[in-house]
Amino acid sequence: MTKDHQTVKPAIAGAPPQHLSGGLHVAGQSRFVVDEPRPAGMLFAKLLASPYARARIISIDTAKAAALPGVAAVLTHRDVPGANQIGHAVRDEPLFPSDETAFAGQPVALVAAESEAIAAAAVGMIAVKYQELEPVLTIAQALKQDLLYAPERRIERGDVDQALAKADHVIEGTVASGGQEHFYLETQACRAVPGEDNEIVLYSATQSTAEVQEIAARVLGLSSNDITVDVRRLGGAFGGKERAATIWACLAALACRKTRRPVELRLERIEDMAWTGKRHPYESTYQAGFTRDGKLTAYAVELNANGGAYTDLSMAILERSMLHADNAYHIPNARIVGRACRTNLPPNTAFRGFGAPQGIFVIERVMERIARTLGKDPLDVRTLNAYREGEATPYGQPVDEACHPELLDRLQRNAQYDRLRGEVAGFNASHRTLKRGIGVVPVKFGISFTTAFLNQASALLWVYTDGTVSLSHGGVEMGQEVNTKVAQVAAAELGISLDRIRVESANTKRVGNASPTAASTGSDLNGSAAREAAGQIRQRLAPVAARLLKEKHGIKVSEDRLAFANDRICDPRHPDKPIPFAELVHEAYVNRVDLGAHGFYATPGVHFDRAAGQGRPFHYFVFGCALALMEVDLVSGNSRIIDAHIVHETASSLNPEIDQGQIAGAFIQGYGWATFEEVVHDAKGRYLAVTPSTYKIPTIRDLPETFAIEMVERPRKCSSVFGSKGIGEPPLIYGEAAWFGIKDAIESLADHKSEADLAFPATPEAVVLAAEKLKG
Amino acid sequence: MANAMQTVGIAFFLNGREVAANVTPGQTALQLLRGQFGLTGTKEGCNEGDCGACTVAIGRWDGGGREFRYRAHTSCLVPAARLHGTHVITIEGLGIPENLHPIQRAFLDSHATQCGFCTPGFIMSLFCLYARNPDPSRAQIGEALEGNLCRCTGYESIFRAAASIAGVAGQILPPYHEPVAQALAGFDRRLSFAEAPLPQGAEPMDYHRPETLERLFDLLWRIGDCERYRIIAGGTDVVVDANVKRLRFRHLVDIAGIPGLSEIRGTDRGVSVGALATLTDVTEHRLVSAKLPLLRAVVSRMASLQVRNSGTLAGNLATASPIGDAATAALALDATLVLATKMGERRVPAGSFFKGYRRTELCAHELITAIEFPEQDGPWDFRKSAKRGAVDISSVCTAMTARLDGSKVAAIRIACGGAAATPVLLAGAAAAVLGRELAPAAIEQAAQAAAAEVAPIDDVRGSRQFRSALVRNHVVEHLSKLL
Ligand SMILES: Cc1cc2nc3c(=O)[nH]c(=O)nc-3n(C[C@H](O)[C@H](O)[C@H](O)COP(=O)(O)OP(=O)(O)OC[C@H]3O[C@@H](n4cnc5c(N)ncnc54)[C@H](O)[C@@H]3O)c2cc1C
Ligand code: FES
Ligand code: FES
Repeated sequence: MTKDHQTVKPAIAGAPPQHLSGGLHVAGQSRFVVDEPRPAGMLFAKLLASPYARARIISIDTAKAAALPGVAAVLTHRDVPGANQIGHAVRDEPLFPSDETAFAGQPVALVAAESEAIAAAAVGMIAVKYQELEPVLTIAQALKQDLLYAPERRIERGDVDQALAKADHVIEGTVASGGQEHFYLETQACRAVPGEDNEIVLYSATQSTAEVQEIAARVLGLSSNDITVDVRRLGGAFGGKERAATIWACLAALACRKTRRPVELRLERIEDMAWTGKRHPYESTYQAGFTRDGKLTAYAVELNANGGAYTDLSMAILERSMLHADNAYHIPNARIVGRACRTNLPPNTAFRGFGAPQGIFVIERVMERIARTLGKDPLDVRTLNAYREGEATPYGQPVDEACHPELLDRLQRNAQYDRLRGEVAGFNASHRTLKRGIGVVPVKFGISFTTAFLNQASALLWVYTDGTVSLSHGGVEMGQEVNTKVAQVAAAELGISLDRIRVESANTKRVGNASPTAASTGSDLNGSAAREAAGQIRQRLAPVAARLLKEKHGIKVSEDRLAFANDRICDPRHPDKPIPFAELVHEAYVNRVDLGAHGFYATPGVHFDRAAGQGRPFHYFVFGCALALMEVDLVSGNSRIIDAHIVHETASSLNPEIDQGQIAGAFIQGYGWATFEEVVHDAKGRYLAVTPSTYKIPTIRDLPETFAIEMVERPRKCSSVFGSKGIGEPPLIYGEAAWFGIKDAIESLADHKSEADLAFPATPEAVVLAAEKLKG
Repeated sequence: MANAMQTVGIAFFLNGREVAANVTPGQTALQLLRGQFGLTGTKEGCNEGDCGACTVAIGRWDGGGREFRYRAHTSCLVPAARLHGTHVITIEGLGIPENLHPIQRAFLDSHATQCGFCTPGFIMSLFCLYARNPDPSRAQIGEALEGNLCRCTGYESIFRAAASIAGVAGQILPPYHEPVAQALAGFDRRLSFAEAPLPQGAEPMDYHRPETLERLFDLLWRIGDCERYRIIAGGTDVVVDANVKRLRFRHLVDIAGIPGLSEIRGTDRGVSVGALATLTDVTEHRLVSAKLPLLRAVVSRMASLQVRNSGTLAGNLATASPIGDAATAALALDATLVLATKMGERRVPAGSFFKGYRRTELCAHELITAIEFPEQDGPWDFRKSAKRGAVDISSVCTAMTARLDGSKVAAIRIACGGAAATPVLLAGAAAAVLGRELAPAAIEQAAQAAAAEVAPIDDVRGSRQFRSALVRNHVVEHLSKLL
């Protein structure tokens, strides 16, 4: 780890603290939704899902199911007391379809019963008559029928057509990338518990407490203050519980409202995989013009996303794809067009990276083709085109503190790139069926919700008279350790140790109107809000401390010079005469000082004009790059990763161990997406790989032999709380290096003279077919 | 009684304490631990053996009472009744946050837990590894953990944690281990059966655990209709069918109590593997390593350690999946299945055992009691192609055994799974090289013959075109080994 400067507050520097819930996790004591003791009288809900991607619902007969002893309720669209509408940004998604199903797996009816077995039996007794209709499944079909969620969007700079006409070289092509199943280990779940009056508490496995609250109220015809959403933690989410958790919570809430009993709805793995949306598959076309040196001068790209059956987050995801179509490269003339297609797949949704990986993949293909066209090393072409300080993106935001040339240089050194190239060539010459290849991908990732108003957060902090702290914030803990980081920030601000702080569940009663925990902003936003709250407390404690120091120790010190550290407050000139924090707090309390604070934070300066395609959507950028050394077995098509090198600029990391874990986890997840995680559906739009026996995510055997992560820690002007940067999503894109490495390995078969027609993901099948094609 | 349901009274040790429970025939150990015992540290991630979140350690006296061993099992696939007479250790039995077990401490110190959902399963897998092997290699750690999925960490921190545990050998087994092991040495309590009212919506199911072959056959005869019962050995297919495909069986006939069936022993021609020998028993047995290296190689690449600790070789053959890996080995090794009924035994060569898609030579009420393998005496090769390198069902799996006479092929068998309705012998490919000098041209001919004689299907694990290419590629590699 490189450390140029120490800008962080002392309490944050030092050994990074452990996972706040780590002790509970490793002891098996941490509780997820269905681990909580069951409330008395709880019912279990099961769903009847549409077997057809698109079908007219002619009739639903629930009589037999309802008559089964032990069944408390059978519910369909007819039973929704409020609006049968769970759309958020766009209101186009019913809770239950009333006339036509829009995807295979869409819930058509719900049974709540005394046990899961009874509920499942009753689901089997519901008779639905459908009239099957022709579904739209692919991007091509949707484009042909003009099935778009919104008119196409554009970001434009310069004169692309003229620049293409003038370019030394012009290439064009199409690029497709596949979907990805989230495979969070904890499946979708919610428990709804009725209170008095109209109150319902939803223990929902969601990343979006406020959204669930708002929409559950809408569906039930209640108001937001009737509904409480409480989330202690999620067993992984990766975007798959940002929007896609809402429906299950609303269904549980509906069953609870109807029966006035607690209801648990938990998807089985096979249901979760078959019914829920995934990462958006993309099909894109591009034209690129470049100089004889390899400098990109013009780039026209059309990014087409398969949005699935409802708008969901597709427009925001598409927007992020467009805003990352440039990735790390300065493009003088650019035209970026985006379309989100309506199809009859489960509504595709947020997945770590949120469209950026798909947009980036296209321009990375372009970089490789430029290199091939000119006979240059792709790494050199990437460095040549990388943003230099202050150059602006096609949407007009300057790339401040751009550093890719330097990071790529570090990567090259870390991996001993030139030597490695030589070794790989030697290996390939001496092996018939095993081939090696190298892939490199730089990443520039913008941090902020591109919907500017979402960039706000609140925290609620109480200091109790024994000197312990209860801290609530709007972020949802899902393994990214937002709780650890936010607690670190509050602890640093108050100068107290972490073990005085309990981070509470995310609860809409304590922190309302919270934005989703997403977009890698969880720690930035909630940490800043917590810092704000802790700062208020500190300010209120300071006069009390100054008085106490004078009374107890005869020290006169102005309030703003006080040092809050190590659970004590002192005059820095007299560190040996402190006031213990607990004593100070107690003194403040008896003097009627308010020990509770609400902190609020709104990211300054972010805005984006969608119509013009211009603005400053991001608070700052994250920079990094990765290299993967891959080995392909041409007999089976299997590939394996031998080495991974990552260089990632963390600015002043709040917790380097957490950040390293995020980088490693995201990289392997991206590697899975790029290699053997394959989402497939049949001709009727039903997902085929719906269990982990057919959909494969990486195992520990996929760990590279060398996994070298260099975190470049240094102060950055463009950063967030205590000089840190968001970390969750960008490293996922590093996984694309594996795909490029596999392609490089295959191309060794033709001496790197022609390009392999390799599908994404690079499954064994894709590898074998590409190799056969290349061999001719 | 139509509205009654059978319950099975079991007794076992749970985290050092003796406990008793009444379980239902269809109940899994995971449901029992989380439900009746409230031990929610054991998680359900898939309910089909693939994620490892439900991993627990099950300890019992092994190898005829020589050694007390803890093995990792995916509790979602273990029938609860099977816990009778064992020592189950769950994550709660290792340590508490104030007093962590060394493996738990290592996970905490290495930041090897993020969302925490997978963590207990990983720790229990490692517990079983370190309980026996204080200083595992990188590969052994990989083997122990490849059946546990984590979606958060990317495994880097988990691997670091796992590798950092070495050196605490004496602290792995909990203090209650020794007295429990002693108590179980003399444990011979019988299962007790009772009846309870049948819950609404449930179908009645009976669990049987005959203690001799004779009683088994009597039982099957009494049940009659083969559609009404399922034999369960390791349960790694049967319980997946029940959990995921929701198949229900009127009678679940557990053969684990029949003595003598788990033996692996030498015969005058080779090795006999009893029907209850687990896949792990096969990989660990010295006779298999010495005489049947092909079998060992194949079985080592089946499933995950947790599943191999339950699943049996016989079960893999009986289930007759077109991509059963062990079936491929049995065909290539020219194994003979010993089949038994009330009327006596018969021997059927593996080559005539598979009759059609998931159909076998097994008649009504017939049981595989053993699989007899002749000792290997020539070159062999094995290849498994699957989407993911570790823990995956084959797209295509092939195995070859051969005998060379000088540079001529004197005998050869090439077996193939995943390219037809059953695992098959590639007779055409064999014929193309039998009696001939091996040369690239002959190999090419054999590969083409192989591709022509298989009839693969399109499914999620590969298209027909891809599978044909794999068969061809595999055959080329096998035969090239003979050059
Ligand atoms: C996660 C996972 C991964 C897997 N990976 C692989 C893999 O890589 N390769 C592979 O080939 N398989 C794999 N399997 C399948 C499975 O593990 C095997 O088929 C296993 O060997 C079956 O043995 P069992 O004892 O568990 O069978 P059971 O489930 O007990 O029984 C299977 C069938 O055989 C019958 N049967 C069992 N024993 C006998 C007997 N003695 N006589 C007559 N009939 C009998 C049963 O009635 C049942 O129909 C995997 C399974 C899981 C859950
Ligand atoms: S729950 Fe996934 S293996 Fe048991
Ligand atoms: S820590 Fe979340 S799945 Fe492993």
